[in-house]
Amino acid sequence: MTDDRVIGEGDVLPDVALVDHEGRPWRFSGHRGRPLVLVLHRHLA
Amino acid sequence: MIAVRDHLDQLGDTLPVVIMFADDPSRLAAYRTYLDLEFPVVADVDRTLYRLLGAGRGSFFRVWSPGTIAMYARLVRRGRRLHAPTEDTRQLGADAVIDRDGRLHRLWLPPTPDARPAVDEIVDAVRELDRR
Repeated sequence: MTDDRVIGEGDVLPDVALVDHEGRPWRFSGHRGRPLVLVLHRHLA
Repeated sequence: MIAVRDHLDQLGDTLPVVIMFADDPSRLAAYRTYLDLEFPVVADVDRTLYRLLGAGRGSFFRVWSPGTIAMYARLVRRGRRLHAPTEDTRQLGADAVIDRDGRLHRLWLPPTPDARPAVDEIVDAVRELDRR
């Protein structure tokens, strides 16, 4: 595994375009004001 | 994520978000229902966020380490039904706490699938935000 991280602790998370479980666009910027815990999953086993 | 689900009462107004790279939202919805999650499950199909955070791909032997195999065995013993994956099994995960301003507060990059942080570590990181 290589560490090719481009952001680190203290950096603002870029507003990556994601899609939620209902197929709707989902962005971090829509949830400012409350902390987030992100769990980046591996695969659907 | 199950540990996070089971400790929501310790996370205050924190919103957990499960991120996957599956490209079929209907599978995300089924997974969310199966695990009885009340928080969003979102897709990062091209793995942009994974790359930004440095969640890379592990070698075959790192991903299928004895610890990983033991982890899956525990899940099966607890009644979890496993399915043959159709996605990249070598993609490693990550866990992160983001503050109220959208800044990355804490990041964990587990070297193997079974080395995710304990939920207490995540709860502590969230509580640090209120002490700043």
